[in-house]
Amino acid sequence: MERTTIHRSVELEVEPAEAWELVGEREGLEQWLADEVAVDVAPGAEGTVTDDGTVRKVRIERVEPGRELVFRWWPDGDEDQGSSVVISVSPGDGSGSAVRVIEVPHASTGPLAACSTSLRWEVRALVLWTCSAGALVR
Amino acid sequence: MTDGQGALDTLFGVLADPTRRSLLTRLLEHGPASATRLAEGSPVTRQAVTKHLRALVDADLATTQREGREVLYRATPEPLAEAVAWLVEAAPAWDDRLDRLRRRTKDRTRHAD
Repeated sequence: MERTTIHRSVELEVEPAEAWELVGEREGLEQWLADEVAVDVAPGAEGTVTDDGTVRKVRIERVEPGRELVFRWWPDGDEDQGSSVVISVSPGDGSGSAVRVIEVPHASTGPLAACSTSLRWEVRALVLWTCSAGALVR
Repeated sequence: MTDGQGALDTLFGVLADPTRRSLLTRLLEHGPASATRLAEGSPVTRQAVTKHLRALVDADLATTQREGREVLYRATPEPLAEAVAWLVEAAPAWDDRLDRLRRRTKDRTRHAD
């Protein structure tokens, strides 16, 4: 599912050490990752992340202090439908820092099940509608 | 940075071609068929049809199955729809989160001044 991997990055004006405080500490994550982050940022720790009313289970897989945080998260009650997230902090091009994010859905399952039901049907409908439109104009 | 849009590019790239849309529709409506069968009554050659069918297979919109001496193509729009649905929902969420992160660090810088 290589093409479903999400890559994102942002340049920050603060030094990497300060950026890490927002990535490697629960209080820091709560300022931007989600509304509520209820997990210790330590390898093996499990908890929940709540965003916009949606609760996800989370397990911290790896912490390289100052550099990288790796966790898995999944819809409450359905670990197979989750994904893995890597958040890394590094020196930026200038004086600041860069934060990079990679999210990969679990390979064993299709990522569609993790999306809302309405979105699933909308995308299916889009594919079928696009095909039908082609048939009508041919 | 907007990587991770490969599935969207693939979907719209492949479906931008009217011949490919037409072939996919026929496979969806009438079930598996060979390139020879699909080329019958079509203005394009069998070779051209085969080329378009390969593009559909490469995009995971179709698969092949051998039946006797024939290769049949079958429409499978689900995997690509899954990939697109995932990206449509998960990618913008990260844009929002990183935007929040950037604003938080700006707030910090401002308070430190």
